[in-house]
Amino acid sequence: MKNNLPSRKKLNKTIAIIGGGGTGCALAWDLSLRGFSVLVFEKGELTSGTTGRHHGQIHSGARYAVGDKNIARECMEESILLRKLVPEAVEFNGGIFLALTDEEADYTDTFIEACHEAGIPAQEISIEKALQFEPLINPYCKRCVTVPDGTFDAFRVPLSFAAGARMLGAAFYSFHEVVQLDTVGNKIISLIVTTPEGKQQSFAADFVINAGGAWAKQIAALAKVHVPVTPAPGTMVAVKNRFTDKVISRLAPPGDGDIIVPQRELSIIGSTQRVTDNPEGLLPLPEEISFLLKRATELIPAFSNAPIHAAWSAARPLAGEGLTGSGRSLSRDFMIVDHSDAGITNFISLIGGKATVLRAMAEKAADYASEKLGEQTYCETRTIVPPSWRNYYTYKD
Amino acid sequence: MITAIIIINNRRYTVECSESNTVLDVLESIRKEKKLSLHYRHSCHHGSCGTCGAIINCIEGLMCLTKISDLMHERKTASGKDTVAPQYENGKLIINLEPLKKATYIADIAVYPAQLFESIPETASYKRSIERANASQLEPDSSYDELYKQICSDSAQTQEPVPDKHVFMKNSLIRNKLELCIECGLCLSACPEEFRGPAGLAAIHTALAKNKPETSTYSNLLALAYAEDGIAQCKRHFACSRVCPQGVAPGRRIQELRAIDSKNSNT
Repeated sequence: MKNNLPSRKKLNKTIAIIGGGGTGCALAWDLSLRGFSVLVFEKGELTSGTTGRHHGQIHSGARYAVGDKNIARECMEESILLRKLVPEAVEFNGGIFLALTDEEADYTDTFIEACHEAGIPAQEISIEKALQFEPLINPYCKRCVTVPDGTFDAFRVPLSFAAGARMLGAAFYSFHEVVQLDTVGNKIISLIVTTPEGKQQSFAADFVINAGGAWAKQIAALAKVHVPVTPAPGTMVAVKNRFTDKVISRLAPPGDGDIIVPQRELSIIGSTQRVTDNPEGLLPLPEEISFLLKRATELIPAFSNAPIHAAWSAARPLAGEGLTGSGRSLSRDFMIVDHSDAGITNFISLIGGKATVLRAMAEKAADYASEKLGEQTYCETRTIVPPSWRNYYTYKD
Repeated sequence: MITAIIIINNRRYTVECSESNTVLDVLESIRKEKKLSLHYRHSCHHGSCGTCGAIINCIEGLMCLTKISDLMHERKTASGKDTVAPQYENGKLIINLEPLKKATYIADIAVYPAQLFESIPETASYKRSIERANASQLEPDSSYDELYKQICSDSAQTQEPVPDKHVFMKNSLIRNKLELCIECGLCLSACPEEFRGPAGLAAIHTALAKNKPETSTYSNLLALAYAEDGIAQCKRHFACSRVCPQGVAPGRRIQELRAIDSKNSNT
């Protein structure tokens, strides 16, 4: 791993990021490479909100290809970048989509065609060959398609970006909760933060980015502005057995309980989806767990015989509002909300999106912030390999 | 449902919880329901990130994998000699939470695990190839070509050496997974000795197997194991192996490092 990051020219501008999840960490890395002074505030440990609880699938984009080609194409590009940039935190063994019903078998051609249009090398293979790769998948499946899916460590990938940012001078304040945003005229001039000792501390910044994910609405409210975010909790169940090396998915439009992700010695079935207004303290419901185990058994018959290792829930940060039911109809795309329209000119919120595209979200937000600050910068996170996540904790400021 | 009293830093929180809840679930509920700040590290909630270690009723454990029901039985301590019996106060289960040792204290049970991460050598790779009987290799697809193309074009800027395409493909098509150790620091906290510690030495042991003995990486790793703060300081308590949530068995690995040491000094 390279740890000798080239020295950067320093711009005399400070950007504060609120939220130390996947997006916040990737943003800190991107903005630090551009030469900005960066402050990151996270009320808990980094990635303690949604990012860390991700099942870890690196999406090739195949899951989204029929529904949204642009998201699918972006996932394909970003998945290759993650394999290149954080190889030590990625298990890349590919994925297989299984058609289990006649309807799904019929859908297969549409699926493959959509993948190809989005630049995803999906390929149908025989059931015999699929079983040769992965002997424990449902042998009664009707059609099988391989795609370049994989698994990543949802803690170690963002932390690698945070480590890189730190080594370039970014200051990370974990266990520091932003409780107040002070404005003068049309600008936020300082952030009031509660320290782990319970004291209040003030930080000045030229620009503020809300990367609060499912918590973005509460953060925006501190500046009396609104962002349309709906927390959509999903439950996942991990069992003690690595049944496959490849990610196993259901060859059908995205739904509940249709992905099994291998991770170290575990297999994880994900996920369910509902909507809520409070992303805090989510616990899985018993009926979600039994539903997921039943669905998992359809893809890998032995799945539910293995002992349960853990069950947990995480809140996706869906961009949009006024949803009923599961919220699956909402796009997984991300967007930048500029609060200039609401009267604050140095504040943006980054909402929506998904873990696979964390780097791309950061790139677009950093481009936007740069332009707003009148700085000519360019993104380097496509080519510069960040240091190991271990450096996040060993680096001394 | 049972009633538990969580004790952190002399503060007591009385909560109703299910026996199937984990300690982490209970802390999350306290934070949500009582709307108070309570500091603890957590991320994945399924024993993969390694952040939520704590001393739970005298024994190191991951809060996300320790169920309330686990604490309602007598448990063996990390020393292997004593036991901890569940304690009740007016029928309420006492759950005492303390921060891990050998880490920088932040607040409540949150720590900053610098010592742990310093103990793991930078050359210790986190990836391992999967050796399984009859496991076929992965099949190439165009995503590998794109990946290789990018590595080549990046190298023009970074001056990093680029492997031959043939070598790149050969290495890329081996099934792989992440190392078993989740770097949680339970072993380091449970070990009564002061030295590099079990996690770091286990990482050295794992890394040695991935490097050829004639390489400088191998000899440097071995030198770290033999150094003054290395294997010589291990007094065979095996507390590390008892608390490891992943079955890494750092204690056994340290003994295997000793075996390499004595084999080398005999020749």
